[in-house]
Formats: sequence, C-alpha cells, structure tokens
Amino acid sequence: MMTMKKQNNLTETIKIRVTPEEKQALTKVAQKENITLSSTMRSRLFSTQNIPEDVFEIQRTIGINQVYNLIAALQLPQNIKDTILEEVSHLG
Amino acid sequence: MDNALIKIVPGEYRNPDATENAIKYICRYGEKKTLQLYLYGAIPSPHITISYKNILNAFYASQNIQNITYERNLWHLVISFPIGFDLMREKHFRFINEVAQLFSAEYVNCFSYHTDTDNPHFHFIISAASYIPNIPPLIPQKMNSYISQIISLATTYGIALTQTGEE
Repeated sequence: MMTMKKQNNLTETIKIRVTPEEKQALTKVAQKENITLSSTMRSRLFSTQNIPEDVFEIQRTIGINQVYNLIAALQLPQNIKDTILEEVSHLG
Repeated sequence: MDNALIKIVPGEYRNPDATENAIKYICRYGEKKTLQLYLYGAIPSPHITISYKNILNAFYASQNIQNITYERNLWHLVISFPIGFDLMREKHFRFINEVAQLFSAEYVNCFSYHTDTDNPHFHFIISAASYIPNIPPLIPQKMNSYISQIISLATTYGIALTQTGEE
C-alpha cells in the first residue's frame, strides 16, 4: 500500500547519520512511546515537556527574575514598583 | 572594544554573618539611599519586593539545602568600567545582567550598580552553596572557570574584560 506524505512549507527534511547502537536506542524509545523516530528526536530536542524538571524550574526562575529585575530597574516610585510586582506575582 | 575590569574581592567570608554583611554592603543598607539589588537564582518569598531581607533568605535557603558545609559562604566580585557615567550604554547593563544569569543556573546571586566612585562599577555577591541539591560548592577552580566564561561573554558585547587583583 502506498501512503502519501503531507508536504508543507513549514517543515524541512534533513538526513542524519547515526551508528547502529544509536539507531537501536532511538528505536527503543520510539517503540516505548509509540511514536516515530522523527518525533522522538524532535521531542527530545525541542519539546519543553521533556526538559528535566529541575532544568525547567531553573529556566522558569531565570524568566521570573528577569521580569522582577526589569521592574525593579524602572525609574518609578517604590510603592508603584511594589504594586506592579505584586500584580505580576499573581501571574505565577 | 571597550575595556573593563573584573576583580574577585579578597576574603573567604567564613563568618556566620558574612552573607548579611556583604549584601548590606553592596546595597548600602542603612545609608541615606539604599541601592537597588537585582536577584537571580531564586524567587523572593514572599515574592514581591526584591528587598535585602528576602534576598538574604534566598542565600540562606541555598546554604541550608546542602548536606555538606563549605567554609566559604559567598564570593564577592566587582566589574568596573573605566569610563565616565555618561558613556554607560545599554550593552554594559545587558552584559552585567547576563553575568548574573550565568551564575544563576547553579548559584543564587545578586548585584547592584555603584556610582559613588569615578568609574561605574557593579558588585556581585554569589552564594558558594548551590540551590540545587548535590551540586558541589563554588570552589576556586570553578570560580576561575566562570571568570573565563565571563571574559568570553564580554567579547560578544565588544568588551575587553581583564581580571585584576586575583586571590
């Protein structure tokens, strides 16, 4: 049976060369998660859901720190900055 | 290429009150105008104002999370720009911000901007204890590795950073 693959302009095909051991490891993960090899590699590289929890937490903290520091650096009266920070803190 | 200097302030900061004193010093706590502190590596709790007290708590939380104790409580760095204040540009502040972020992947740190001398400079206080369990403390060899990374980072901002007054 012939299957037609969807083509669009949003993705691009690349070829990568792996060792037999690497292919075996990838296949094992793909089978376990019931997804394709391509999806396995893409999810490992680009999905935030596969980032280890502590790494995700570090990135989240840095993001929040950036916002807080930016607000702290604004040339505004302290009480206004406190109000903004309090509102921002509710956003999680 | 702009020039800048980075210095590790001598001292091992072993006293129990070393962290408190160092943070108070860099924000000029108790003086007429307290300087703004910027925090990386922890979310202040209660997470509103970035005050000296909740930054201090973030440092203490790091020190308490580790099973092993390391004699040094913190590191104190200074990055100065031998230029007039009118020549400070956004890139200088972005660079400083990124230095703090670099440490923050493992160590809580805070910094402040000082304008009380002829040259603009920034003081950093970095916890020697990581806020991540089982991450080794910030020992001198690791600090030297961070300094090398900071020097490389500086070049991406067009800043030639030189280390001075090594321990």
